[in-house]
Amino acid sequence: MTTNQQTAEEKQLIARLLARDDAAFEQVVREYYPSMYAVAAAIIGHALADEVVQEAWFSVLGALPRFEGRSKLKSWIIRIVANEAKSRLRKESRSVSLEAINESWATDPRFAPAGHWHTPLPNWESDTPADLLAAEQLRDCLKMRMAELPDNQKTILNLRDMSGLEMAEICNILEVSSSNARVLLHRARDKMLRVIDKFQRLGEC
Amino acid sequence: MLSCRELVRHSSEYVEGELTGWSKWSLKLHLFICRRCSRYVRHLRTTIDALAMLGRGQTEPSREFMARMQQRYRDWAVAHDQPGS
Repeated sequence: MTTNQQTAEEKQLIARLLARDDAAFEQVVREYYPSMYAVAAAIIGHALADEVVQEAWFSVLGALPRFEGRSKLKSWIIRIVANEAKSRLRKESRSVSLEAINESWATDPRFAPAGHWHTPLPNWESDTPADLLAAEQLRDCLKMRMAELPDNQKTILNLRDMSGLEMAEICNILEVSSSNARVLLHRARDKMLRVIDKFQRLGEC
Repeated sequence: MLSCRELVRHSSEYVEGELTGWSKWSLKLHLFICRRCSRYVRHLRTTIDALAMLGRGQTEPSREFMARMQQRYRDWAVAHDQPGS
């Protein structure tokens, strides 16, 4: 799909939304819900995420006639939901810390002191994502372990890998440096990899 | 020569294509000769794809949420039709 086609599609969508097209509204709300929810939940938590998404949509509708199309519609909407969540967070006077904790690779027991593998990974029996996730137990296990990640790692994993946002966009939304975001993301992925690995070897969570 | 630990540490940047120049080539070279690290990188890619797949099935708006949204959209449309309200 070219950028021009996207723009034409977006223009048409915006026109339909402004023309009070119920069906178009329902469709776009459903389509963007997973990303919007992930951003809201990442910033303010699950309990208030739905409310924040709802408020964000009404900010979007209010501002839509002035949307200039300098960014993609979806990015613009994601920024609005992020701002909505952040201002809500300020009202609740909570704050999130996105500093990378210095979990050290230097003492990682998987590596010998000189830096080569001490306990290398085995081959996995199921080697495709679909095969892996066919095991319901593993899906539940991944969700559980993900919930236990430090907030900052969970947030970035959620936005990048589960919701597919671009790194630049994530850094922008969360106001973190890209080097910090990369460290957090890789830490979280590495932990999820080890969850899968343990499940492959031992069949347990 | 890059150590396995260093390779693993930078493997997300590698699979996302964010490394350039010498960093990229030193990783490529290491992967060419190290089966253990190649396996790690392969498993990392699988993990990332699995997370994406898990993410696609994760969230759908509830029926109540959609009903509230539809109602508010109609209210908004009505207000929008009558300037000054």
